[in-house]
Amino acid sequence: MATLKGQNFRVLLYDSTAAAYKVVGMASNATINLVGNTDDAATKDDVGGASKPEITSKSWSVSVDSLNVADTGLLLAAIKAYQKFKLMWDETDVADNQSIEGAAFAREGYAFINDATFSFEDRANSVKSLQLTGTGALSKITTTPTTETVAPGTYTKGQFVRLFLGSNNTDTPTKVLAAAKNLQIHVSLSLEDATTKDTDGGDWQVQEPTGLSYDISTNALVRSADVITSAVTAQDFASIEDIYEASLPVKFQVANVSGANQRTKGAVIMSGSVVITSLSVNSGNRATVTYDTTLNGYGEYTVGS
Amino acid sequence: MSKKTTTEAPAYRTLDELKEKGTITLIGDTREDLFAEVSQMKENVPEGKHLVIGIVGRDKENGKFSLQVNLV
Repeated sequence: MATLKGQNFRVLLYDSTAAAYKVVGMASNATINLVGNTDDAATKDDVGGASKPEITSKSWSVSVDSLNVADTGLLLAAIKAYQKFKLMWDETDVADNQSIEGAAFAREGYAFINDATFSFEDRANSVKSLQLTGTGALSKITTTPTTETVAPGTYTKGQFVRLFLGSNNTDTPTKVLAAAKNLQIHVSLSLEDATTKDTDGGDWQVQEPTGLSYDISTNALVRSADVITSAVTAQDFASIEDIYEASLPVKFQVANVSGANQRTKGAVIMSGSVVITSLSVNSGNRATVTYDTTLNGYGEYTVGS
Repeated sequence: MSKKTTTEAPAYRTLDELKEKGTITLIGDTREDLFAEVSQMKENVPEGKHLVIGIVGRDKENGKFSLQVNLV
């Protein structure tokens, strides 16, 4: 019996502008989780000690990783807008790894992106990881859906996406986080089970977005105090400590960069305010001293400009 | 003077295409070319709309830079 390789098990998202499904481009991994939630129906009338799990509801989720971060802005906007996505999974043709085959295991349904992480590691290809939680039923596909091929995507090296951090919550940030090694944006959409006795469609759970939170994590070198001059043009560990000690939110921007030392701010992807909730230093003997910081979003973020 | 993008179109023509399709992928020889085009587009965005900017990627085969821009 022929086995199926991962490159031919694809998740597709519906593009309403194109009126067609498209594969998640440059995908490196995809997982499908189908869960049956149970109640124990065993009673005193049942002889013996075995439980009798009864399926009371069904829930499902899809996770996909991709090396394409070109659409980061659009995804951030969609999550913020509580956008519901229509998705499907299917076997694809080995000729292009995109054309769907109409396999018997193919399914489609609606889902929210409830967790998204965008990672920008220095000198490495940037990655996005999406988790979509289903709302309502999964359906077998009875009519072949319209699909559109996705053009080859482009790669982004992590050093070309950087965090700019202000020193207050008023002025547009101009200072890049110096000597950074990693940057990660994590957005989380809270979902609540909104299924009621009125809900049709069997025992499929219906989800309702209730809130949004986000955090930015970064790892950078602690530079020697000799390097930092009075004309400070970047945020360093010392200034990050100041921000932490002030216990106040500061403005931030995540932007495309270019130029010398990759410090010239280009098109801004995301902006808002953050508070520093964690700051830790790592100083192993004879190893480069680094620090990790987590900045939690304060209020809504803005996408683009 | 920076090179024109491969669309060989002024920013206002690119914005027209963006208004029509809602999304456009700018292609250029340098990152700075793309940023400059986005800056020009920002000045002519219709009221009530704004640009959602993606992340610059690079084609490994031809070395060109691309940037997805959406009008929302």
